[in-house]
Amino acid sequence: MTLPAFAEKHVQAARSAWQRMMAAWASASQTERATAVILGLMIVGGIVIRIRAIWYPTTFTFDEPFFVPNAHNYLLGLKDTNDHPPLFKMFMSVGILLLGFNSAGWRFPALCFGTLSILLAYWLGKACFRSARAGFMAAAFVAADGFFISYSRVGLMDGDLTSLLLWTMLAAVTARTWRGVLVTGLLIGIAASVKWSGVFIVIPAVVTMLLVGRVPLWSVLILAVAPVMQAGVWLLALRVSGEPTDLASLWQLVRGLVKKHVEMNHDTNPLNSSWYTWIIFYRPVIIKNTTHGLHKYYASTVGNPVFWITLDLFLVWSFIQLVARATAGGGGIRLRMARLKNFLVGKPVGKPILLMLLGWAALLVPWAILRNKYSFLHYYLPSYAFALLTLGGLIAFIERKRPKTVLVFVVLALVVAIYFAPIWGEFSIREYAVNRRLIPPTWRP
Amino acid sequence: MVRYVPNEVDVSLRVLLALFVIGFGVWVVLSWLKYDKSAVQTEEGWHKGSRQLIEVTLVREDANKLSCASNFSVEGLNCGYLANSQPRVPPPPDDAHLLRPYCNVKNDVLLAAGLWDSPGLRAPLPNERFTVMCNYDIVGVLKSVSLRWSPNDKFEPAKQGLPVGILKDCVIPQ
Repeated sequence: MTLPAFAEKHVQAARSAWQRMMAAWASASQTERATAVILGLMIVGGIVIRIRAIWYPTTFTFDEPFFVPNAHNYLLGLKDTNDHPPLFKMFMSVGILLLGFNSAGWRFPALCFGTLSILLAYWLGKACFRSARAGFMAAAFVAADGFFISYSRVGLMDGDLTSLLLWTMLAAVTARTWRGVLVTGLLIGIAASVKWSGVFIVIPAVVTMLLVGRVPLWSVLILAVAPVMQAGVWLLALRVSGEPTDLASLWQLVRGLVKKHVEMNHDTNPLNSSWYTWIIFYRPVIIKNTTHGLHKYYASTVGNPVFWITLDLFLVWSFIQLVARATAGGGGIRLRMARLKNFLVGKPVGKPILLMLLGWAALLVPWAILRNKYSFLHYYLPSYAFALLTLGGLIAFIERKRPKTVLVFVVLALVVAIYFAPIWGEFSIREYAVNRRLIPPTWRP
Repeated sequence: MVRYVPNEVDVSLRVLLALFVIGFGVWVVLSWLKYDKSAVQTEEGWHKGSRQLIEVTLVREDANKLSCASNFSVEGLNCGYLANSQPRVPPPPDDAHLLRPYCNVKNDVLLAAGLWDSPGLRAPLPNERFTVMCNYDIVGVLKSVSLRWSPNDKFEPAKQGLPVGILKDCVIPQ
């Protein structure tokens, strides 16, 4: 396809999307329109908070010293001494190339991917739930959540990884033939080149491709392109940094890094938190924390409580429903299984929500097995993205029958987001005002 | 209305295109916000032996409120307290040798002596918050230092090395 034809096709697609949006607006009730306005405010506000004064503080913050000098090394043709795969630092070096070796430059990729995640949440929600409204809800929830806002404003890799994993699942949901599987495999390789944990997406991607796209079973083997893609990225990085680019050297390097990661599991850190505490944001980290006189500037990773509490309640409710159906009197094992199946494939759960929950679980459970001692809340960020997509689908479903309830929910979410915005987006704030927001002592620095 | 349904490869091309558009947009917005004026190290050009013209924000009560604590001395300048938060014995002889923390109008924190003895501050001071323009002669840097912005607060360790110097020729800008 030529470039003009490609551009023409996408211009037409944008025009068609605009017309559909106008048609949906015209046919919506007053309540639904009010909800749409609130969701729109969440998205616009979320983008503004992500970008405002992102360069502040102008010095390294949190784990930036581990990544920024190595990103700079790529531009100087020097060795990357960090213990993660190279791609995130290469993205960062592009930011430094565009904006200079300063805080705006090294936070540039986080901001780009953090903004892209909002769009991906829309596309993935729309594709998975077959509802633009569900996509709109998911995008607004990602935009107005502090976990995503704070990671869009700092030179750390988890926001980039989350965005790439959403992209991977979008590719999996839309895959229909071997070509779609190939794209999914390449994206898994790219995500794992940012952080190895990106490979956890394989299970939900495969299940999605088989259940939604119904791709031929044999085509799943094409996902073997993922490690090839990662090796390619790594060899490119070695070449840029003037290191040996043969496979034996790469193998040696990877083995050394794996060994280092295994040994790190015995380390301790005051910010450690166990995987099961992430669901309730027991110990969010302040990833940007500066003080000038009496003024504090914080970027806390605590999520929007309206979102995660609602989702946790839904999970508890679903669990109770499952247990109740499995243990209810009458009927043998077959009847019990049928009751469970009816609950899982019926509303409000259903296949799309199960797939998003599978994404959530697949990116969470491995930490329970692999890293029970040396783990941090930010490992939960990709998993949490799928939690918010689940919530988007769920709220969009509820809106069909209870639009006013949903309007109250989104108004509450917006009010809470506005209240928390100062400690997500580094507004000037006094300590007493911080403490009014970060109420549990484990939320405070 | 023609509904465009992207195929499985087009979807990812569309995401890639969106990433480039977002990247371009971010670059334009950051340039418009003049990130290059703010994102540079604020201490650029500040080095030992240099003199900077700075504007410090104050209230009248700061003369008795601002303190620092450190066991170290820089060119005869000392904090009023030791690292264990106990008053230094003997205390620095006068304001010209007593370090205190200040914020300039760019929100940079610095340690300085000599402000309150300046001839420009001998007249009655304003009741409201005001600013003072001074020459700041940098004599060194102190990293192991804690700061206190009010006698009722605890000393909090500074998160980075702070410039240490002497404020001279201070005037309240008219």
